Amino acid sequence: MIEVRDLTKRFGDFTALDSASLTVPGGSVYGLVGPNGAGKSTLLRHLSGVYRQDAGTVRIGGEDVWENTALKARLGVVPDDWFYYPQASVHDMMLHYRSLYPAFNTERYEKLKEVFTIGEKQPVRRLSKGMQKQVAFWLTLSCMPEVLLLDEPVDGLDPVMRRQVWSLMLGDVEQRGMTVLVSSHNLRELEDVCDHVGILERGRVLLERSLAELQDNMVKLQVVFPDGADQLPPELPVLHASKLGRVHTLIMRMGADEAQRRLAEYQPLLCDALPLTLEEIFIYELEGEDYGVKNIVL
Amino acid sequence: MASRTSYFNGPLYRKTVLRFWPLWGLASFFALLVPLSLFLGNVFASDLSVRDLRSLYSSALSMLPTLLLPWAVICAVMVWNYLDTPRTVNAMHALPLRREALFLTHFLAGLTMLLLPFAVSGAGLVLGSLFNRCLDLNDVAVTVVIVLLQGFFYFSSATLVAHITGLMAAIPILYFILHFLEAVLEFVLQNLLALLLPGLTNSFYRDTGLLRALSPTVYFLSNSDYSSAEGGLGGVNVTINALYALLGLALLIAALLLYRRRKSESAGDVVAFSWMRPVFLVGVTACAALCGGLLLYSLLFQNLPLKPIAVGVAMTIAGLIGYYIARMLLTKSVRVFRTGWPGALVTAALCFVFAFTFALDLPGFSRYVPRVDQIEFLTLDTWNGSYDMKAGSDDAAIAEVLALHEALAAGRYIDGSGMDLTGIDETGQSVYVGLNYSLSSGREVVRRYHVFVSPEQIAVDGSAAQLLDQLIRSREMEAVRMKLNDPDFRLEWGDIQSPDYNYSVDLSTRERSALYAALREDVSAGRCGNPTWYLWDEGVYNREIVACLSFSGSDGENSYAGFDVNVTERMTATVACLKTLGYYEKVLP
Repeated sequence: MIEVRDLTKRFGDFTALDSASLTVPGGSVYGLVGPNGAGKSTLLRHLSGVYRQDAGTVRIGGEDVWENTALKARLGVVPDDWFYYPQASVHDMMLHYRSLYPAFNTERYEKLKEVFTIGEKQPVRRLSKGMQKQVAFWLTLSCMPEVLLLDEPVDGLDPVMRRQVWSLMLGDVEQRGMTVLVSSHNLRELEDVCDHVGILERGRVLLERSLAELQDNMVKLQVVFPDGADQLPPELPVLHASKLGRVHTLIMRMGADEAQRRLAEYQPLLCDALPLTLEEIFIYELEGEDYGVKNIVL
Repeated sequence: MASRTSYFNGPLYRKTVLRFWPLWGLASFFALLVPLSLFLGNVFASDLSVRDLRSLYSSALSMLPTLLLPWAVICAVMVWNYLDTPRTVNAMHALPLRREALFLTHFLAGLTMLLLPFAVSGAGLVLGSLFNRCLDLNDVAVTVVIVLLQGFFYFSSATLVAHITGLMAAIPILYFILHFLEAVLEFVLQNLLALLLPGLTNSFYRDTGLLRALSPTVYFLSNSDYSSAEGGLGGVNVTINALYALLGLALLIAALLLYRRRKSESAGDVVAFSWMRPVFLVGVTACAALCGGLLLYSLLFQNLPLKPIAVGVAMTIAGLIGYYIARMLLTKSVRVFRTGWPGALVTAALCFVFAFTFALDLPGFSRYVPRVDQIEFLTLDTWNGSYDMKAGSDDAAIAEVLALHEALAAGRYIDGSGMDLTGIDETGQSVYVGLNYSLSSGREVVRRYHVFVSPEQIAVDGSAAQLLDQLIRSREMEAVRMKLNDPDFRLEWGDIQSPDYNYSVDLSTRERSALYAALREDVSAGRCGNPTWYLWDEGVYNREIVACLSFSGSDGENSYAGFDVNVTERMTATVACLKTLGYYEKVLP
């Protein structure tokens, strides 16, 4: 389990993380969502032992991460800008990983050759960005990590390779109980793979819930009021409203049943609850924080 | 695998060393040329001796600091370059290795790269020596030890610099600045004070003792004689290398302590630690104010009146440039002018305080005259040669010189700069006066003046010109100049020359002894000197024979001395001697 409590990190006068807290259950896939500059990468760098916190605790499996080599040997990290030695081939990088990670599994590395069809002798620098990312996954997954930290992991991968990579990772989650913490802007993709989501904004974790819980806590409704009423009743707790013809589209922070019960008081001609995508939840949650995504037509 | 939790990681070490093989490979190739050229050149002659090789090792060791200085920083830049960019530093710090392991592994990799070319060259020399049967194990061992000690020191210092900064390009700049900071600051301060204060000089290389050790390369080069008393290599300078290696160890520990506290996010910062930033800001500003101020003053303001203001303006301009550049580097932004004005005001104020303090000589540098009991040795250099005076045997002469120095320090002379004689409508001459004191405390005091000497100036009581005139013409000083009271010096050579220097005669041992005895008699009788000695441009020496004698002291080449004497008709004993020898009419047309 990953536990971050009241994590604060300042870069000079700028506070990148401001008492951020999150909990990632063991064996789960946790999506960390947030706009640019929210502090996602900073948080991941604390978890990978790169940054030392100014305040708070960063623990994995109950152990502090900072300078904990035994713990770091069980972590897999795929950052957005994966590092390789300028002259190194894929094989050289494999040797490098193998010499540093005790759990490196050569058998698995050989097996993954079938998935990542990249020549081992090829210099990594000559590969495309997407292929370099494939190499990063290939080597990291061969290290058999107990915890996998991914920062914008599938940027640059083609759709087929994305599916394959996720399939491999989810297989590890299922078979070995690997915990995955993934930060991404690709909300559509997270929706398909995550079972927990945390939303980070301006260095703070606004909310973290399981995906099901999150979806149950916000509802999108299409409503038509009688007699062509143009104005919404002001007492309704609406996060966002738009109107097309006579149809009002409302986003409300409550369960679908509760929303329909409250709207029933106004005897609507139509009141349909629609499922919200993770992207919609993300946008409306942050809109409440004055993120400035108003007037987005969904 | 032990290496995963230990303080050293073998695979990373090998990887780091092998990554840079073109660099150390090329260096090793050039290093191998040394033994190759030596032994291939002698392969047929087979006449190489232990002595030849010792001479080669000795030359190599004296060159070693100049080779190691740049090579160490190149190796440091190579191995520590991962600290330069967030991508690489994040990757390294995410590895399951402690900071200590990363540090030691990279340090050893860099040190290996540093030493490899020397090892190749050394191995070649040893093999060649074996082949030529001229191997001296002591010489080889001493050479290896010195290379290791110096290499360790230089690479440790480069490592410390690499951990102070987060910017690869800044490593060599900071490294060279720190290695020569003492020498450069001394040079700049000497020049600045020489520009500001009469008497102070910039032309004399002073041994600053332990302070000089802060410029290690200069110190190594001035202590590069490794011959031992037994004839082989060794000697006291090996100890100096060992002390520097100890210093290198301290620097290495400091670098490790810094690295343990270093934040990964400092990659790309000129100064990696926030607490060092004010030091950097003040250091750059001060260096810019001093060095740039000196340059600007010399180029633009030197001939302006109101010297303190001119110096203050020059230093302020240079200091502000340095201050804002330092701020730009620290903030990585060019928008530093609005927020930086308080510091700029402080900089300007301090520059003017400095300029006024030294231009008005508030510390009293130019007014300082050593006390007679402080002096161990004094040399006066002036128009007619050098006067070397020892405390004890030449106290009367030293007292005369001190009286002159006090007059000069009190400003009782004209032509302090030696250049500006505007407005002086007198027949006279600007006479150079150089004073070098060796004090019993080990300190050196050096002063340089130009004194305008004319009949009018000589007539002024207590003036420097009057005191200089008395000094030049005094018996004590003439005895000092001619080494009459110095039994350590032996007459070695002598000649006499015609007044126009077109004709000269070398004197035999007997002749120069006779001439020296005659000169002694004239000096004792007070018949030496010319009352208008300073009018050489007016032709007062046009009809006088010049006698030149030179001596060697008890230290041989280290204590050579000589003097010229214009033989006037008043010097009756000398004239009689020259006539007896038959040279007087011959030399004098």
